[in-house]
Amino acid sequence: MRTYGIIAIVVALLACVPLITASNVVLNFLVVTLLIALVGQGWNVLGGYGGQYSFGHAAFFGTGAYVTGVLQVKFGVNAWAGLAFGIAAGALVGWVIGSLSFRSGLRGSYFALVTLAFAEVLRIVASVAPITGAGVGTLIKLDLRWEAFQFQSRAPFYWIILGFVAVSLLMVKRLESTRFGAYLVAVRENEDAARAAGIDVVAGEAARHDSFGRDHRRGRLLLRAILPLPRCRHRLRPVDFGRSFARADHRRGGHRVRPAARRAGGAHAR
Amino acid sequence: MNPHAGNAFVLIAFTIVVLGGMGSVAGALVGGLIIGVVESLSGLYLGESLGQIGIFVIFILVLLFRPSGLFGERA
Repeated sequence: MRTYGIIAIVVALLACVPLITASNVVLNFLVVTLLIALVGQGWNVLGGYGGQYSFGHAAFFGTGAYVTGVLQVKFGVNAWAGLAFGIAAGALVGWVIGSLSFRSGLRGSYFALVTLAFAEVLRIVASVAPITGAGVGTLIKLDLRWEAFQFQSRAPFYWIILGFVAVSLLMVKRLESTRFGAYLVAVRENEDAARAAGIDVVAGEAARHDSFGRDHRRGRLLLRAILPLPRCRHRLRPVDFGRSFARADHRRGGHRVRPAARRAGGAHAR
Repeated sequence: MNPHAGNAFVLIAFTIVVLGGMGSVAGALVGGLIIGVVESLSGLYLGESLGQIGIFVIFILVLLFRPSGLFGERA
């Protein structure tokens, strides 16, 4: 409870900053700071709680950014809808990379290098493929309307990113008290023992990877406020741990399944 | 010359060591040969800018099937 109080106070204080200053320099600085905090929180889920060091987080960030920007510029999709697609694409990439590398049992520096290799592949593709604008990048037209996700002042960007940071802090804090959070820590402390105790390491880690990808995607908004290309956005999305809970619980005989997990478990059992 | 002169090789070198299997001298040798040939061939067929993709694709594929590298001991 005390942590939640601290989070609330810090966020409330930070929210007052644009009321005190209208300086773009200050706001830009804080926006970047909060973006990094957000990205760090995303990495924290996998690297901090789960103990798996990934070098490939840039892939999720970049995927989301490019999908959002390219949809908007090349396909005329609304910026907010593009944001949703960007998040979905980033989550998909996170899920694919996560499940592939965890399923094959990669650990330590092998895991780190494979995530880095995936990120490198995506980076090379993005800097060559015509659809992303290759090395030049994609410029988003100036269109100062909120429908286009562009604002006259920096303050809305600041409040939006602050909101995302606040939610990510709350989510990570809450993660500590969930079964999934306990699984993460168990896998970090001793992956073999966790496996022996019936924890579905692949599902747990893949979902974690995924959630961390989502966290990253959240950071995109910030970049978009700062960089003309590629536009970065983020949207917050509650992490769906239901499936991984259900899978892990299922193996253990399905006892003490939480209501949400039980529903998912029923569907899973088919 | 610049302070980042070695960066291009560090990543490839690390990739080669992990591909061959950490702690294996023969693995590093074979890994280096594979990476070199793959880089050249993929550069030839995919174009210069996409050439490096070949390295990482081979790397990912090898590690997905042999998580400890080609000559690494099973963890």
